[in-house]
Amino acid sequence: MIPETFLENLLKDYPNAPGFYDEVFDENKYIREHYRKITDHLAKIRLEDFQNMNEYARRSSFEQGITFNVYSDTSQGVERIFPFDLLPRIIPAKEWDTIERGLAQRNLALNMFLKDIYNEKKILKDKVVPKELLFSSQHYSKYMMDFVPYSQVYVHISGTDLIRHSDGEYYVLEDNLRTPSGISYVLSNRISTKRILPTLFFNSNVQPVVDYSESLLEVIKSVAPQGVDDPVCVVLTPGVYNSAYYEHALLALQMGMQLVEGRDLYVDHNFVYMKTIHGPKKVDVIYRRVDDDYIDPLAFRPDSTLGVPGLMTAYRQGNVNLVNAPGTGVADDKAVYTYVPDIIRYYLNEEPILKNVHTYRCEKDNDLNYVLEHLNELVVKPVDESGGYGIFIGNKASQQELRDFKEVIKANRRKYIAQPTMALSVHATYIEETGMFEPRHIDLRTFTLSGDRSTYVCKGGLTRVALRKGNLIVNSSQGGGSKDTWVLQDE
Amino acid sequence: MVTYQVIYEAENHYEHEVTEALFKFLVLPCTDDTQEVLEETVENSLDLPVFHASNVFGYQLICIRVAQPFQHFKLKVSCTVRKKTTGMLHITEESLPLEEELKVLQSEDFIVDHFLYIQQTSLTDLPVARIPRDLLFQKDKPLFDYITDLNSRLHNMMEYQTGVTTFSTRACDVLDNPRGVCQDYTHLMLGILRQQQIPCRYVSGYLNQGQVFLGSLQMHAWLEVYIPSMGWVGVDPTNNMMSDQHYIKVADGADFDDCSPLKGHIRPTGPNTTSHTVEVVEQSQQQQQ
Amino acid sequence: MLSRTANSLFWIGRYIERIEHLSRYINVQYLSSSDAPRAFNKQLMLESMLYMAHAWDSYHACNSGMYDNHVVYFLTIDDKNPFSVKNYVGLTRENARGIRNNITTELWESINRFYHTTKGFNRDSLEKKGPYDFCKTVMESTTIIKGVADDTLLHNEAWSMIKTGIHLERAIQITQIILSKLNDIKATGHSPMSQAINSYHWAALLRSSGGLDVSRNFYGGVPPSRERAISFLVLNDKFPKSVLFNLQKLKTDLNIISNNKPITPDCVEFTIGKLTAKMDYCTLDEILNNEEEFVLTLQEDLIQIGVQLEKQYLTY
Repeated sequence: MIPETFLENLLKDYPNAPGFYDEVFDENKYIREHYRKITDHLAKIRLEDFQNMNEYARRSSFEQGITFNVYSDTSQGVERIFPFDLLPRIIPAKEWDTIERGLAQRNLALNMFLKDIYNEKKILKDKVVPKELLFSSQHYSKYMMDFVPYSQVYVHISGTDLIRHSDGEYYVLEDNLRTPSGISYVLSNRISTKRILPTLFFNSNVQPVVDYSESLLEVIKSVAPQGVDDPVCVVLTPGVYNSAYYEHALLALQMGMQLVEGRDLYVDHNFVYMKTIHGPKKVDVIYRRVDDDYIDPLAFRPDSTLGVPGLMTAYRQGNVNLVNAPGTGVADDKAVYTYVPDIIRYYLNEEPILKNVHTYRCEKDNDLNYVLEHLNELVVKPVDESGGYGIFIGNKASQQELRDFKEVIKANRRKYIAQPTMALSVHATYIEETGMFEPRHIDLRTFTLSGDRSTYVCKGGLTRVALRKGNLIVNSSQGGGSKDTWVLQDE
Repeated sequence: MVTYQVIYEAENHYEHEVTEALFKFLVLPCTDDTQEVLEETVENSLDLPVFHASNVFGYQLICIRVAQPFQHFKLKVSCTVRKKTTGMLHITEESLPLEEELKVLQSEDFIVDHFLYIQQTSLTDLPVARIPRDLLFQKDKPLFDYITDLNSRLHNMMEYQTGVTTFSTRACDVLDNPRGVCQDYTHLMLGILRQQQIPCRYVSGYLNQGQVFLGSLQMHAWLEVYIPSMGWVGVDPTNNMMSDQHYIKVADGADFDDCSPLKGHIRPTGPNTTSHTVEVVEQSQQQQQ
Repeated sequence: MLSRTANSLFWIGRYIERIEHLSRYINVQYLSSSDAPRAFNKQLMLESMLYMAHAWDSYHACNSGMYDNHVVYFLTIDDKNPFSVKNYVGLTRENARGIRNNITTELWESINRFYHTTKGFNRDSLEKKGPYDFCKTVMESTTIIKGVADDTLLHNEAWSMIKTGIHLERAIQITQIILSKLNDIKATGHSPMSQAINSYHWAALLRSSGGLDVSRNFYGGVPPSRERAISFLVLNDKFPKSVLFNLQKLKTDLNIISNNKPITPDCVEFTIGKLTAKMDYCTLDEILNNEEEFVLTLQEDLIQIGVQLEKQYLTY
């Protein structure tokens, strides 16, 4: 018997996913143009070899220690790997060009928005964004008022989540402006593909992602306090028990920075120092991966042991810069999200390049009525929770659950927004349990860097895969996997 | 003009040895239109250098980092403050007509610029339904008159009593049980005014101990209300007074949390006690009548 | 370098070295007891293991009776014993994880692989095969890790911190092994020691420190004796496990760390120099006069060096 090949397996019995955009196949089940090269290449590979490669990829992540901790009520810190699917997601050059311009535009406007709302507040006075929305946000930080960080950048690193809807268009699902994570998976997925599919990769004209750490280093250095020629920059991590610790360590290593914890730093005379074996050393820029609430126990949560007492005072004094600035969470609030197109028009006088998902705001009477009537077609999200928790998916709920949730919404209208269920596109993904390729929902976490007069968009990103069949939430803490994302160069 | 000698002392005791600490004291009188600090000395029991920093509102903090084992820490701040004005502070003009006052207070720009002093905090928040009607602004007189009226109503309604409230007592608790000290009076009045969108802020400072004022033995709290054309006007419901040359301001903010005289972080954490003493002595009596 | 980083590097070195000596000791005791002279029974062998690992009390706190599979399990992979080899490996990895960016990918991966390998051993496999397989794997891994550290790290202060931990711990472990063996000899010796038993013990001592073959070579095939064994383990400046050798290495390690700063009497470099000089000019007779007391004092001095070193460089 002739051994089955990768391609035969891919084509054989590949189920349709009606109502969703399939990234690999068109409506007639033909392989899309930009996937031809890879399928032609893989056509020669036996299924068994592909399975071996898949297993090798898994082991490679384990040995590299690319594991994350999952916290739940029952167990603490179980180490798991974030499963990596060998078949890459491919984005043609033209599509990517639009995405890239859209991301740069969006992040520029959001940075201007942050500067405005913490200083002049013009957009509020002009009633483009309702003031109540910001003033009631727990992320609107008193500590940022009447203060502009160096280079006027608030969000140096932004993780914008994109999806492709059934209409074939990309939509922004959410902005992550606080301490977005995931880039380490982008880098290590790329290493894995290069190791496992070297010839294919080198023949495919894929845009590099390795320049991310270099660009990040440049951005961090570019926002150092004025007058510091050779700034000392560090990465501040909550420690080894943080789920993204691997990423903090990897970035520090690649950028040649010290990876510090709160207890390694202290503030004296409004400067920040780290404790070294040869005494104190002044620190100029902190790429902090510790949340706002924890970075300074004298300003925010007094019980925090992860932060540096007095840091906010040193920051406002201009003696140290923080990447990202505190208080940026106010702009990635899910309720503010719905105003981003207006924000772009207001500051840049341009039409938004990337689409926003239509959003119903439960605090508005008309929207609330619509939401209550169409709850079964909508996804309802709390505006103040991250990580995919607390999401209510209308079409998966029972009648009783729908009734109950309506009451929940009515009781706390500002807390909830609703959006139509976006039909996340699907991508052929190797499923270990069945030994077959099956369509799975995907999204794309992109990474945009903003420094002093420079913007960089990582050409690629983290394609997250919902490994459970039919699951729409693609998040590492909710049983997802990932794919390498290939942005093709113009030929 | 009056000159005061102000002495603030804090003493901390720790049950277990502390190896690392950062303290921030918000106790130094500020310099503004009404007063200036002429001289300032800071001493501490560990003989460590101190440094200054600005808080979010621009007020001077005295900070000290300790990086040696200790169980006891004492700080003494002495300064000479001169009040530049006498009588009621801040008032430069007559009240505007009520209608114009309301127009200012209700304008979008004004609300956006002053939201911090209009928005309730967890310490000042009050359910509107529970505020007695006679404490609300009936809009039948200028704002200034309502403020003085409310000041004396609250003064009469409350009973001054120490030891019944803490730093975390909220305005709504005070409404239920109208007893407490200066910060309780202040939080309650802030809560009532903010409920009506009238901007007002918490003020911490010292009182002339030569007068018969309640609360002068410790740091005092009162509030400032924004009155169009007049600016920030100091009101002290504890003593039913408008702030005058007997009031020495340290800082202001949204509520007590912004004005807390001492914030510190120690490693390792453990039980501790703090005591504060305050001495305010009038130095010259050459008041201009 | 951050003090916390230095602290982790130092302890990686110490744990790796401790793991290696503990495994070697367990392995050697277990194997050589099978062909030991009658006076040295199994019971003594197990007591010797517990003594060497400072685990007598903790073992008896959660075990009743001395059975070889219990003792071996307790010392190697018992999660409940905080000082089991497996838990030391876990601590090594935690330290490495905490300073992931200060070590090379190669070093991290070798430590991470070591961790996953030791995790793969369980009670069943240990009882079926005895400790040999486990100990052998562990010793090979520690050798690999040390080699990877030497070959991939910059030979700067970070590397020197690991080396400092290794050299200090090794000197301490050697003194501990000597003390354990002296203890064994005491336990077997009601009657004057016969030549055979005598030779057996000194050979076991040398084997437990991984020095039997090289010492035979060094002494031209003359069988081990008290004088030769002690002299070899304490004073031989060519034998990489001797106390003197490691003290001299400690001096060079710290030179890199302190960047050849002038030495003052209150610093750890001074203490080390003083102890090295003392050992350099120490005669064998001085030791043999009362070897137990001598080695105990030496061990105490080494432990104090560790304390002083932590105070000077590693507090954060």
